[in-house]
Amino acid sequence: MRMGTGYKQPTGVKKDIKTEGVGYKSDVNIVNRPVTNHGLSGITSTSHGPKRKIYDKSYYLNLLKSKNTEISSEISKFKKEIDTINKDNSSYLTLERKYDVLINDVRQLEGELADYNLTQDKFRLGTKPEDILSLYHHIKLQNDKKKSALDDLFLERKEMENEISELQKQITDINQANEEKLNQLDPEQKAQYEKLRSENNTLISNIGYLRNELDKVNERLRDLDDRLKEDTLRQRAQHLREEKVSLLKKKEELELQTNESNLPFAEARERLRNRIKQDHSEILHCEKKIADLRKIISTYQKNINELEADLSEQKTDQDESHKYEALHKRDREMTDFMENFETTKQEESQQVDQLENTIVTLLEHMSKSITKSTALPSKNDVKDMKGDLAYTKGLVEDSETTYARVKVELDQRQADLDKINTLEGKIERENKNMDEKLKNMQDEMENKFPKIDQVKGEYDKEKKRLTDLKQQLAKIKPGMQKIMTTHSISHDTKKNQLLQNDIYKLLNSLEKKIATNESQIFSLCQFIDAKGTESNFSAVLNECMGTVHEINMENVKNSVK
Amino acid sequence: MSEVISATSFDQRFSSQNIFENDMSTFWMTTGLYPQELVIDLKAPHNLNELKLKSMRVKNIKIEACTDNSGSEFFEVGKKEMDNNSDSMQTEKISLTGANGIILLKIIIQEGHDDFASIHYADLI
Repeated sequence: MRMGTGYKQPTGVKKDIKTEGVGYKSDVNIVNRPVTNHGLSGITSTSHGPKRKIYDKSYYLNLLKSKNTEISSEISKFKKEIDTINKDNSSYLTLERKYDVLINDVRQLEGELADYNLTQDKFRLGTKPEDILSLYHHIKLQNDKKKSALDDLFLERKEMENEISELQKQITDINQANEEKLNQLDPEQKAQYEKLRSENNTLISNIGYLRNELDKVNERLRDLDDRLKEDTLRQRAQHLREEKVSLLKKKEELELQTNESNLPFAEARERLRNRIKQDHSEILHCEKKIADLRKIISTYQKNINELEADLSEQKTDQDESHKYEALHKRDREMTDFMENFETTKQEESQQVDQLENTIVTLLEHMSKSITKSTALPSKNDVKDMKGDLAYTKGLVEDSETTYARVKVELDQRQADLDKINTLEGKIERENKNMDEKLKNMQDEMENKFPKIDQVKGEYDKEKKRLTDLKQQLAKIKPGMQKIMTTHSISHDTKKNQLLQNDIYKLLNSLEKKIATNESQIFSLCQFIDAKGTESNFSAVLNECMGTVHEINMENVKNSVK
Repeated sequence: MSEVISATSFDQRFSSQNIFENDMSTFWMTTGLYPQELVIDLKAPHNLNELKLKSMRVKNIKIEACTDNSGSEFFEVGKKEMDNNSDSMQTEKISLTGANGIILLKIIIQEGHDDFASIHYADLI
């Protein structure tokens, strides 16, 4: 009888219908029928029967297994996703690198394209390549110059920056020292310091006033100078005066020298010594003067700097600032000249040396040419020589053309030689093959051709053998055919007999049955295996046994207590 | 003039026609697995009593006969088991029973003492 597990209970059926099945045998009281908000809907189709009453261990185990499988599938999904993300990341990095490389290539190619476009434009305009070359060289030279200038500027800037930083450091140090000193000072000294500071300020303002006056005086002086320059007679007079002074000095010196030559040796030596001493003292005096002047200049420089700062702050009078700027410019020029005097002097002296050397070489050249000019050929000789020159030129041209022709021929011959060299190996191999063939042919000539009769005899023999064989086979053929037919007939009859035989039929049907049974057995075996693996309860059994054993042990312990 | 019309082994050096020559240096030799057969066409109906056979390495031999030319029905007329004479010749007389009006005769070597067996001479009496 069929179990009633699959039977659907109609909604209106009385609950105590006698049906068989696991679920139906258990008594269930439905107290609260499921009712929706909008009327009676009856029992939903999902809950057929009273469901499982007891949730045993296997149920939970199955539930856990199913959840486990779900979790493992989710984990595998996540792993796959992680793998894909990692792959994408790696591919992204590689693609980014590729993109960088390609962008570089594109930029290069764009540059090339621009070059090509430029060349095309030039070609359209019909500019000569020489012009482009010269332009290129010119631009290159300019670029190089600018490059070197930039480098120099950069270096200079760096040096300046370093100097500035050093100076700033020094300034900060000094300021710090000043502050420390000021802090250490007594109140009286501080007051004195303040007083001095105010004095300094007043002096600075005085300096400004005096500078203005100086500028005015300078302006006046300039005006007077301009006037003097305009007046040629005065200028000339001034010039003559200066000349007179210098000539007088020279005269004195010459007089002294003339006197020295007349004087005895000891006196002359004394005078010389005195003069040397005088010169030395003068030099020392000059040097001192220079040092003083430099100091003054530096002080002025400082003052100017301060004034500049003041001016920039105040910006009161623009004309004065212009004047000041002009003064400052002149001063700067002077200081530059003073500073660069040594280097410029050296450069100039070097140039002078170079010029002297060139003059010497030129003089040598000139002397040589002068000596040559004495041994110049006559007009006729020159004519002859010109003729010879034309003739030799023609010869040279001929020889050049022949040289070019011979060169081309040489190249051709070289190529031929290379080909021959490569062919040499091939020829050697072919020679070897040909030698072998020749040997074989000679062998055949010696051994085979004299034995033509023998070969013919062999051929005849073979022919005879084959004809005999043919005859023999022809003799056998009909008999064999007969026997074959009889055999085939007998085979067919036996086959028919076999097919009609009951035992054969039975065997055939049995064989088919066996095949089907075998296939069924195989499928059943597979099914059994699957079920066996599904219903392998040994692990659960062992667990249960273990828990039973534990419980027993606990019971024993309790009973003993 | 009887002649061999079919043989299960064929070698040109050892032709099946050699069995009619009373020369021991010429023979027919088997070249494969047993059984091996020879069919002799007597051309006309003959009454046979005996088959004289000179052979080597033959163990079991059977003689069949057919009364018509088509060779549709062969029937057994004689049978013999031979001793192994090692390298020497086997000379046997096989008596044929009921071999009357025979046109085709089949000599079947069912088994041999060695892999190869040979028939040197066959005389039908």
